[in-house]
Amino acid sequence: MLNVLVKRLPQMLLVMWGIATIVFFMQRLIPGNPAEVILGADASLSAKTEWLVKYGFDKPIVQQYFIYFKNIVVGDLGRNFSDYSPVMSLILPRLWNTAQLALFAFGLSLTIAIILGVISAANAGNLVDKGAAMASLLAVSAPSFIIGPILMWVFSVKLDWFPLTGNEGIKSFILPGVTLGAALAALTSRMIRSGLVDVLSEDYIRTARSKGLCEFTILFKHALRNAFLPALTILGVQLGVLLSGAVITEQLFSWPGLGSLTVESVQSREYNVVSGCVLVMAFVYVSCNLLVDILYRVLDPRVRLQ
Amino acid sequence: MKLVSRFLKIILSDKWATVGAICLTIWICIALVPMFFPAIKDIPTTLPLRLSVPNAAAWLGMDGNGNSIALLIINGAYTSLIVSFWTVLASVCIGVPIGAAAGYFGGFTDLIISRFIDILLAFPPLILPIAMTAFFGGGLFNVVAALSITGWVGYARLVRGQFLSLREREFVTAARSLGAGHVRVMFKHILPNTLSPLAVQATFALAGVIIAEAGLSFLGLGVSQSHVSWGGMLNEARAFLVEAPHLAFFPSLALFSVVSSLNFVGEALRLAFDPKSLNENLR
Repeated sequence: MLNVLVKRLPQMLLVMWGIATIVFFMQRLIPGNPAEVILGADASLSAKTEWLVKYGFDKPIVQQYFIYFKNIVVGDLGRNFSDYSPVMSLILPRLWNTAQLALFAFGLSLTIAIILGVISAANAGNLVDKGAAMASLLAVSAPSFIIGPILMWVFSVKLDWFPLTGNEGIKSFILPGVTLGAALAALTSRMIRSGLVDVLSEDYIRTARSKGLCEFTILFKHALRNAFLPALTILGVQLGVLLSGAVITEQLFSWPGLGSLTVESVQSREYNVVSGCVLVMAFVYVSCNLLVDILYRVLDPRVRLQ
Repeated sequence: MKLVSRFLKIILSDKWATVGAICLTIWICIALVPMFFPAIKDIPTTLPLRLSVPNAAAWLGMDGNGNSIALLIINGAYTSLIVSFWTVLASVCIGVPIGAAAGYFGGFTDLIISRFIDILLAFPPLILPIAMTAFFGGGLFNVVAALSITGWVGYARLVRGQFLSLREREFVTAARSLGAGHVRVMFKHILPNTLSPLAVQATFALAGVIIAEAGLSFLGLGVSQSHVSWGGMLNEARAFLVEAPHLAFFPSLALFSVVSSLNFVGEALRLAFDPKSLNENLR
């Protein structure tokens, strides 16, 4: 595990440096004087200059770049334009909300994927399998802004089982969680299915069958362990996607997470907050990928030996 | 031409891919209507009829501003077609040469390009386009630019991998020893061998771009100010979900049919070109 870290950590730091550099220059490339964009074109010259000095935009760009990096290292993502509060203090509570929703969606889609994958593999080739396959392809084709409104209309408007928006306890998690996790469940179930189909033709499964073990034990205890590994790589990437890319789902359900903070900040031209959100999302995403890499080695000794 | 007829054969041999291809042809015809009859872009507003359900006069009903949903869908199809076409074209034009250079030359060139690709891939999907349209504004050109700047990476990775293995083959050595230059070997000899996986990638990418454009417009960062977008329609429909769900239904159906058609076609092509992946298919 240690040598994975030693090998991957410099690479990860390089990627993070690249991310921060891209975000920095993107924000600096916004056309026009930032003070004019925020204060309006008819603000007085002294007000504009004062604003530029306050936010450090008056310094040469190279100097700004170094200050930006120095601040990121200590977790300072700059200041909010409206009340000069630190951007990090805005982001952290939102990140927590997003993490809750993402982990819920992740657990939900994993459960569905395992059940669906095992059922498909046990019925490989017949109608049940084909039906599950078709359902998966359709679920992958339906983006969250289609699944979401359908769920909202059926379960909130018509049946009134769940609240339409907001975060009021466990009930509020169901609809956004399903919306967020649907595509992941579809994708993972197919990977588990194909992994299982491969594993089920192995000798040790035949041995298990000839011992007279029941099919349930064989599938869930013997086969699933090995069949699950290929799915793990995609799951890691997807957890990162859920944690960071829930922008549309959060917007749809007015979920107070990082994604909706990004959209709100875009609308109110809080460019420092937008940059901060993008940076945090990308960092979370990269960290998730590293985590999965390590987990993969822990779970599969064959990879460790290579 | 040979490639096109091969594709057609593959698509026609698969039931669902055929359905998808027919559905796509219909959508392309619909999308071309505003191009040849620009008059259709001026959608009349009849406020008294706003939110009316589908009827004989307005086939798909009226939206919250009193615009015909059918006309909006047609114009939205045009936007989707334009954005996805230009984005995929631009992404291929950027990604293929870069990936080819990385795979063909290897060494330092490959290292620099691969690290740069790693950095771009470290942004979660859609986040970079969101940031870019947030900073530089929406509109057709900016959306295409934002989606292309992230979109080329997929092609570059694919082409790099293909070039990496193909450059070791005998036909490359043969071409080199006959005096062919690097550019000629890359684009005349190796590239034609990568066209099939590229076509598969582009088919799925078309679907991805259509979803991404709709997603950006849904967030209010897309092309909506000047053009109609299905994503923008869905965003406006949110406010009327209780009293007029048909506002959300029709653009959803349009998006869903286009995207699933593309996925069906892409899936058939993928299976035909990559039989190894037969047992990990979606279908």
